Amino acid sequence: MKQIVLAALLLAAGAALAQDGDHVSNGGLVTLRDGRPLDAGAMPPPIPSVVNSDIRQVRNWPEQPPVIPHQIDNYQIDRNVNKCLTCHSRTAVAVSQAPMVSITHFQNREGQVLAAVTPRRFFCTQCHVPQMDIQPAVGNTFEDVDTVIHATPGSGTP
Amino acid sequence: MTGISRRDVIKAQAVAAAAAAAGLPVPAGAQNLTTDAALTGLRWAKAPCRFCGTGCSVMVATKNGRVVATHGDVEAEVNRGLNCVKGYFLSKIMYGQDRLTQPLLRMRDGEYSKDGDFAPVSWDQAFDVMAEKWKATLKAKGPQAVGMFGSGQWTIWEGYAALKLMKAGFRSNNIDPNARHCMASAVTGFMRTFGIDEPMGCYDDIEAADAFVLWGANMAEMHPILWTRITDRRFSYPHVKVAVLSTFRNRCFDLADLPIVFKPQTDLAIMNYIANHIIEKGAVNEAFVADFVNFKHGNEKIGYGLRPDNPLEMQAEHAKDANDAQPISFEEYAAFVAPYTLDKAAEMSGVEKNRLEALAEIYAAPDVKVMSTWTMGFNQHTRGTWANNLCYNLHLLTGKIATPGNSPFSLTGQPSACGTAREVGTFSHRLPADLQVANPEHRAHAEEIWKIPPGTIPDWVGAHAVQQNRDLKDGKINVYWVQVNNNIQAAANLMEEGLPGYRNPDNFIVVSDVYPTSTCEAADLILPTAMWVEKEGGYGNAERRTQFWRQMVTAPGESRSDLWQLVEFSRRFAIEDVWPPELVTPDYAGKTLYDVLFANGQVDAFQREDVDKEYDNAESDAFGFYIQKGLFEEYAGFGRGHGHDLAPFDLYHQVRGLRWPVIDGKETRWRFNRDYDPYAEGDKPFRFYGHKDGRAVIFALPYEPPAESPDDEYPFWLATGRVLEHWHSGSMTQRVPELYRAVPDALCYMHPDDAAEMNLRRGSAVRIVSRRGEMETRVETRGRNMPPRGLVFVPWFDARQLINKVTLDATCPISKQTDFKKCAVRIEAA
Amino acid sequence: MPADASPGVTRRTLLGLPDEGIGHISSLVVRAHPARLAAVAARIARLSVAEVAMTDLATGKLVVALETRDEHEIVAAMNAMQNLPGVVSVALVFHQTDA
Repeated sequence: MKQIVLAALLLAAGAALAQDGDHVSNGGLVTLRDGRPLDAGAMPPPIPSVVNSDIRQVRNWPEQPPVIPHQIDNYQIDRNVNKCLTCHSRTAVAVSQAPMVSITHFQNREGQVLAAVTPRRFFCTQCHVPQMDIQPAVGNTFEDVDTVIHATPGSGTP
Repeated sequence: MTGISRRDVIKAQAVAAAAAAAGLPVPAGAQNLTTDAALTGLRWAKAPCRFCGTGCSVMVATKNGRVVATHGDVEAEVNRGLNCVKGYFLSKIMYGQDRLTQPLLRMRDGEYSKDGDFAPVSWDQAFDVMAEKWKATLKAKGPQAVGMFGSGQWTIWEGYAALKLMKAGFRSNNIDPNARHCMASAVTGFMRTFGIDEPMGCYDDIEAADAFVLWGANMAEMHPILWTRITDRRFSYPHVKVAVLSTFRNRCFDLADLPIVFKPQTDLAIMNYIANHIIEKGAVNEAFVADFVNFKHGNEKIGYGLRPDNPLEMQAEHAKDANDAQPISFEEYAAFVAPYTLDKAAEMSGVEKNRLEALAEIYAAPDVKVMSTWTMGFNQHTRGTWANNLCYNLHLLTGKIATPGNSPFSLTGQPSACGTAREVGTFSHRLPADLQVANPEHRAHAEEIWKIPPGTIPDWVGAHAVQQNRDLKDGKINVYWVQVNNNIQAAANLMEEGLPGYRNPDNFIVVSDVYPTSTCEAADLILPTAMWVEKEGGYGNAERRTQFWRQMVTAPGESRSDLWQLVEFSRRFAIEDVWPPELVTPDYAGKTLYDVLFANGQVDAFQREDVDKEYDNAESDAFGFYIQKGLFEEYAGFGRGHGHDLAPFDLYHQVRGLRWPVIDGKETRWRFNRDYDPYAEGDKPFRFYGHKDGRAVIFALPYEPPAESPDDEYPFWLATGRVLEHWHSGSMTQRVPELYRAVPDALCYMHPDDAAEMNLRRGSAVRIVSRRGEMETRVETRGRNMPPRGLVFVPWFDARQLINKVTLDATCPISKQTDFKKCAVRIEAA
Repeated sequence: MPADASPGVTRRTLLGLPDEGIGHISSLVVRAHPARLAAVAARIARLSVAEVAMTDLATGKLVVALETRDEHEIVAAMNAMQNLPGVVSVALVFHQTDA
């Protein structure tokens, strides 16, 4: 515990000075390392918890695969079973009230609609990811299309 | 989206509905429908994904100078509308808040100082300092002291411009790409077995194969779209089998019919066993072997690419001629592999005999079309070249090669390691189209195309990636330009070699990047760089498919593309600054390096007006001609007619890429096969025309141990790698909130019993320690990767956790590619 | 809730999520004399269940959002607004039960 506190103090000091005389100088450049010199280390924060709110998030553009707003620990997706589909399949949604996998998930490589979820979209976590309950390390200035379209005078956009 | 509840959302909808009913303007936050076509009209254009070597195509929507959306391109053969999670978030990768927008120079008291703080300067000032340093170094120490570390993520013309600048301009072969860390062993594997680079098959093999064997490739996370094609094939056709080999259980095992965890390095033994099995079972395709195969025994005891004074190197009998081999007969080859029995392979690898036999039968069974795939498991290996050769052995013994579905397929990691690094030849020993600097005819040919005096191109093999870091540390390379990579985070053995090298007071390090990275922290001059659709570009993917894209938006602030930087820098040099007097004949006297390399009547042959009027082209504006087209067409002249034919430049902008060789507009899907490849001439069904006699080579190569194995002091194997959500060092993906929040920090994946034995659990703070350095991290016992006992896995995407402080800079001595998968560590509670 | 789901079973109960309290959200268009608009808006704002979302001076229209525990409260709020000096009409546009 003491080591962790000490490391935290060193980290704070390093960040304030942007270079410590005993360490490799980073020239004051702020990177994802938050000012900690390259030759210094620090214990990363505890593993954060996963957002488990069930609240659907706005997609940044229509084609974006929605992030998963709940935990998926131990959800088995292998050649025998797909746990996600127990709530998200076409037939399960009446009971689960989970969103059905979108219609794109029923189309094969040629664009034909199949009776069941296409194998090419079987492994959900190749496109859908849960989110940790933390702030991003760096902001992102991406603006969605509505913002860009209405970023004109008189449109009433705040 | 914290702070907004469902309740608020419904309220907003309610207000919008009422406003609409009342004929009042609908508040922006509650809009749900914009139908005015002029407003909704987006410009859509194609581009390859910025990330991996799969080379998916995406459609990019721009509006008012910004990217607002992307989706998988339904017209692209590669991905038919799919992306992986990284590809789906391409719209955000350019918009991290800390984009570099101005050149930054370390200064003290208004002047450059190695220990100064970064201060903004103009491009003029930046190039002034650079040119001064380059000229001083050339004068004092010559071209051997000039270095460049480039990238398999350079566009084709960026790599080509850099190649010219270094080899024809500064006359230095010290240019190497970060592809040295990922594909070098694949290249030397191809060159030794086939005499020519790159896969003979293509992705269409997936839809034709009966069995897939993944040898050290975590395709589920690293080539996800190809994995979806394999998944599709496997589920749609029940007879298809998937075998996965790895040193730890990963997501690919979720699909595997034959999952195999083996002891590190014993892939060499397993492959020799399979060859032995094929021979003993009489499964050799004797007709094929008789017509198309030569046998060789490669030199053994070739060392580990460590510094020459390392005892391992001094003991290595063939460290200096690692690539040599002697011809042998089939019988001698059979005798060579005979000791690799099933028992021996099982004992060495720790794999159950029935699994090894099942694997061997996939290759031996005559009617099973088998596709073998591999990436870093084979390539980042101290015997990586051998691993590639040994896998080709299996396909050659059985004749299962160069036909649909029968495909030893080396998967490329980076988006243009093929298209740029390998095909353009941005290596310390190469020139375009597989030509070599050591070959006088090849140099003469390049000099002819480039219209430069004979003797300009240097004949000495330059420093490769690992050597460059050592040379920086030793002060042999003094001016160094890094573009499109993050080598301070990537290269092994950071504390002993890389970091001292960059911070050596004798050295001036220039880093071109988009975001402030770990490598920028170690630099002296940082150049803000344009990325992806901020410039017109071209990439070549793993299946030899060259794909182009247009400039769609403007780069922010003062940032400029790598191409602009390279070409603009050349203007600062008179030819007399870089060439010795004997080369400066009257034709060249008084010219700038820019004149000689880029305004040479070829690179500047196409008009600025030729650029499609729909799109901007910052570089063509800057230089006054269509520079991308000029560079490409000059470069293509190397390969056309020599098995590397590229289509005309304009065609690539119209189609979803083409697989070379492209002859008369027609791409080649299976090379060396007479039915598909115009170069496979003659009366036989195949011709391995990389070798003059049309034959491929089967190599007799043994198992040899890794450079560093676990022992009492360092009892764990350390394997490093990536995760799905982050590309490489995370400089782009960690700035996309959704990707960052999916996987924010690196972790030490460990077997729960190993953890328990050390009184650790999930989330415990630990230190990973090797002979070279240490790193603090937290334990994961329930993650996507499940190592066996005695092995831990750590990904390298996290700037805050530099696992390369711990790894070892041992390489395959033939390919010079670092083995990032094997070194010895101990785990301490922190 | 879908008509064929069994009563009392919601997604929230299925997933074991805490009950936030069933609520009703609705919106109204109120027409007032333009000269009295500001005063009307101020009086409506004093209703605990109401929030004035938009006003338009030119036409004398207001958009009001309500959050109530049940339908009765919606009717009561509408009656209160109708009786305010300067209010010409009150019309319910949108009503949703947040289950």
